[in-house]
Amino acid sequence: MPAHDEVHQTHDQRRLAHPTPPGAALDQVFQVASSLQTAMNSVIEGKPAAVRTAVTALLAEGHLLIEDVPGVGKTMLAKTLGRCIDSSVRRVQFTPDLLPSDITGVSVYNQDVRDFEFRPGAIFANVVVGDEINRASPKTQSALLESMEEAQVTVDGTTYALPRPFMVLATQNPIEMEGTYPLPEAQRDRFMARISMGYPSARSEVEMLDTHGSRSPLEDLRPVTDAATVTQMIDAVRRVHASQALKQYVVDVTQATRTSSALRLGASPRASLHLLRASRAHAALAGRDHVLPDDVQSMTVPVLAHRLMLTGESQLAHRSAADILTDLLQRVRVPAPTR
Amino acid sequence: MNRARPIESLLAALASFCVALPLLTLFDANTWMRPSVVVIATIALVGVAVRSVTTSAWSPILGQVLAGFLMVSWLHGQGHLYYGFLPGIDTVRSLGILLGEAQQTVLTFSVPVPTDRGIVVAITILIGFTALVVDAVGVTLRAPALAGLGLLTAYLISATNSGDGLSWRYFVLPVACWLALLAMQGIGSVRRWGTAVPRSPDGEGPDPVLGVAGTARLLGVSALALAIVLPMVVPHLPTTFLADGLGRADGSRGGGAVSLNTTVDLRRSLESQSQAPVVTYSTTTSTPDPLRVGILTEYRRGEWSTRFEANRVLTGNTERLLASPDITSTDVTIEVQENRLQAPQIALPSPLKSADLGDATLLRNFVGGYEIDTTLDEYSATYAQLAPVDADFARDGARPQGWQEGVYSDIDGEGVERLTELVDSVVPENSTPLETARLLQAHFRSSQYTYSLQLPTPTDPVSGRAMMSDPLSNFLVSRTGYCVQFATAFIMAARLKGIPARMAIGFLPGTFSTGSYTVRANDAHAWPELWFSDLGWTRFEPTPGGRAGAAPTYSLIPAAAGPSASASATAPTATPTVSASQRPDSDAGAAADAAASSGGPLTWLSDNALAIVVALATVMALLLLPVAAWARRRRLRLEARDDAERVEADWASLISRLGDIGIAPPPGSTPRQAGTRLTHDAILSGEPKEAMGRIVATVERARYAPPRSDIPDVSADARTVWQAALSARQRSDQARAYLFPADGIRQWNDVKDAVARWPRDAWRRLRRD
Repeated sequence: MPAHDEVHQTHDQRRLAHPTPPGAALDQVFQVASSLQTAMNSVIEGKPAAVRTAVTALLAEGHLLIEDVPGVGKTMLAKTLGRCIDSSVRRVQFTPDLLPSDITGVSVYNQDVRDFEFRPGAIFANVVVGDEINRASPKTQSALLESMEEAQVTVDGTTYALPRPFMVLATQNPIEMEGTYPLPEAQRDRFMARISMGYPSARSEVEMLDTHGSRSPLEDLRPVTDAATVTQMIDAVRRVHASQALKQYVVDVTQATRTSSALRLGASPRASLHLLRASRAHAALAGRDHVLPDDVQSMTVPVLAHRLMLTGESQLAHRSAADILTDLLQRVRVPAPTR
Repeated sequence: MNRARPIESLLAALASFCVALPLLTLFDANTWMRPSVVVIATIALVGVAVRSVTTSAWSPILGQVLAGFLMVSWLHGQGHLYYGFLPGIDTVRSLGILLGEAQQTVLTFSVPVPTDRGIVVAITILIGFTALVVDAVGVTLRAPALAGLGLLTAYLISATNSGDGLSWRYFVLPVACWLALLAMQGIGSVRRWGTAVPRSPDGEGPDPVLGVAGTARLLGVSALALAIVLPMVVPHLPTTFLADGLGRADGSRGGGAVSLNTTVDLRRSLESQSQAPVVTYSTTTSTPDPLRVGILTEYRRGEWSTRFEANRVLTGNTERLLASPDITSTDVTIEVQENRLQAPQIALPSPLKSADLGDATLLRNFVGGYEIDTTLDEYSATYAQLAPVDADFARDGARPQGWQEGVYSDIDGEGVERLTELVDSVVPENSTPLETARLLQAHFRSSQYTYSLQLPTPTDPVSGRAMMSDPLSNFLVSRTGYCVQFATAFIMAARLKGIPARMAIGFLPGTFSTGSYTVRANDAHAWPELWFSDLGWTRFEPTPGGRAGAAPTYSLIPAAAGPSASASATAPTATPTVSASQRPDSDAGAAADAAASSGGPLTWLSDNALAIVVALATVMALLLLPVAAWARRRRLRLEARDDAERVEADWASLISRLGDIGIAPPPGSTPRQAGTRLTHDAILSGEPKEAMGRIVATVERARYAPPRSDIPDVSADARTVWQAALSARQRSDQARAYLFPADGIRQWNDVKDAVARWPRDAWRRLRRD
């Protein structure tokens, strides 16, 4: 498992390279995020990178799109994340007949008080797992996406704030597209990151058969943190320093996607924002109080790949957005302070 | 493109004409020039005309051959033509006769050769042939690079026969024409590639071919400059190739054997700088004396000769010493291992005591010169190295044989007046013969005289015009010459003062290496021998400079300021006050000579001045980049305003230096990726690896951390990494990294940019003021 080793190696290096202890808040972020990842890794066998990205998105206040074939553990990942945090978790199975009001909630006439009272929908939770989001009608999808962006819901003229932290983990199946409503580009843009699970390795799969054979490991999972701590962690991540040169680098990367001849549509300014936030979280996960270009580079593919539209030539050449982004990263100069 | 190619023809013709120009130095008149120009023009015009009507390559060449022959016939075959214009067998025969005459002229006369009719014909044909070859190869067959060979051959004929080097102008002119021809055809052929260098579609922008041509021009001009500069550094070697001997009826060279010319002409510049070894010998002394080959007694009209034949067999090859036995002397033996001097000449030291010549017979002539009947490869000889004191010169004794006949006292009338003036001014009235000889030698060796193998053209001191007078007077006026002139003047002056004197010719002791001395042809030397009755024939050395022999101890004026009064009292006339006041530098001159002969550091410096300058320039050139790189690194560090910038400067320097040994981070890599890559490529481990980790962490902190963070100095770590990386590389890589650092090139580019920007900045500043 070279990928696994690499992750740990770089992790160790980062620890070595920073002998000075980061601030207390960051220390907490590092501690909690590490135990969170350990807990999740015990359920999701052999997918530390996906777990890491999921935690990063959580700390960066982003939403996660998990896209893969059925049965590789998309929903399991989403549920595990929800279970590890001692918070409200709601799961919505998207179907074509799901209505927007099922998501947002609905005002119901209460006979006792002789008034309409608001019944919150599935969205009123800290972690919302939207299964097979592409099966719902666009109307329902957009209701979800609106609240994702605004972190609030407006029903019958009244605005209800969503709880903090608030994270949507949506899964979708890219293969079985019959009778689905694929997310339009504009809506994909709302998700901070997209990850693919991929098949597990043979060893991991055997281990999975062992552990999942008797009973679900999810049931043994105890929360390692709670919503309040996660909110604190999110605030600490916001304070991670990003130098001027680094912000320039983020912009350089997104602008490179806009000028690349292999792409029909590049990354939006919102993508820049998401990239910087994700990079901050990534740096915090490494226990660092400042963002490095390396953080930006490791978050570029998960954060940008699902927002790009490839040209016909690139598609014919079987190039993926991830390939094109990797190429771009090798060309964009890492900023050094200018005099 | 024009098929006739008139401009290229013109260039080829110009090149052919320019390459003939050095002939001006070989012949005394330039009557060959007009017919040559006519022939060159004919060949060029015929070439253009025929090329314009046919595409065949051979028709123009045939036409040119015919037209050239016709033109030569019309110019030189007048009276041998049918109907006054048609050449025939008779014409060819007459031209042949003229060429025969030319050959005779060339073999008879030395440079400059008189330009008679045969010579003009020969030169016309030669130049015509050159023009034909250059035009045919360079223009008709479109191989201008090959045409350079024809030009080079013609040039070399002139260059090798002019003796000394030709002026560089003679080289630049034909080469410039040839390069222009090359450039024209080169540009033409690049244009024919068509697709390789497309013109911009709108027809605007610079012609891409000109970019290629610019590089080619730069290369051409650089090569030309190099061809001119390089020979100035390389020593001028003797001209011993290609038509050697043209213009000189000198049969002595070639074949490896050497013989010394026994008639010495004072008018000739010494041109033979042959390095051919003559004699190789080993000896028992550390200060060997010159080897004598012949003795010349008669001086007439600027030429030395001898009229005595060696007719007496020296039985047992032993010679009775002329010097009296009570003079201190050391017996010295020389063992000759290689001898290339042809019989009857033999190089022997003097005064000879005995010689071991194997079966050969040693002959002696009237004046004491030796000859041998067969050429020997090896022989040995013993001679007495005399160490006389002043008193030995004063005694009276026997006169030399032939004294009565005036063999050693005849004075040629030419130049005597000037010589008498000189002798009277240098030598006081009542000097002894030894004092006379010493004063004369000191005079000639003083700094007033210049040693030169090239004799200056005598000029009239009043009018400044060229003047032909006798060579002795010329020497006394110009005070420039080589050993023959110095020795002649010295001998004549001695004879004027009544001292029997004669000229010895032979070789300097040669150069010592690995146990033996090697005498080369250019060690040939002439020196005077003066008769002192108790000593015999005694060598003096009036020739100054490093090429002459060291002056014998007895011939130097002794230092006058002795510690005791008696020393100055015993030699009251040795340094007469008159002479001292008139010739204040005579002692200094002798002292300088002594220093020169002992190889003082100053002489070494002056002898090797050019080599030292070249070596220094090379060292400076090699140091240009390292020093610039050092200056740049220092400047970057000093210009840093805070710790972060200093770390950046160190990081940039480290990356650049690692790049010098071929280790570079991938473009667009972060410091961390660069660090990982560099650690891997430079095979760092242990402390250097940790140092690299610290550097990377510091650079990251300097760049991206919040401003308040503390940033340590990384220069020590950078040095550790650099040394570890360097020590893992090969020596050649290390040398390259030190000698050609990229930082140095960047620094020079910065300097260049600053210089280029300077006028604009200055103007801006001026306007602001």
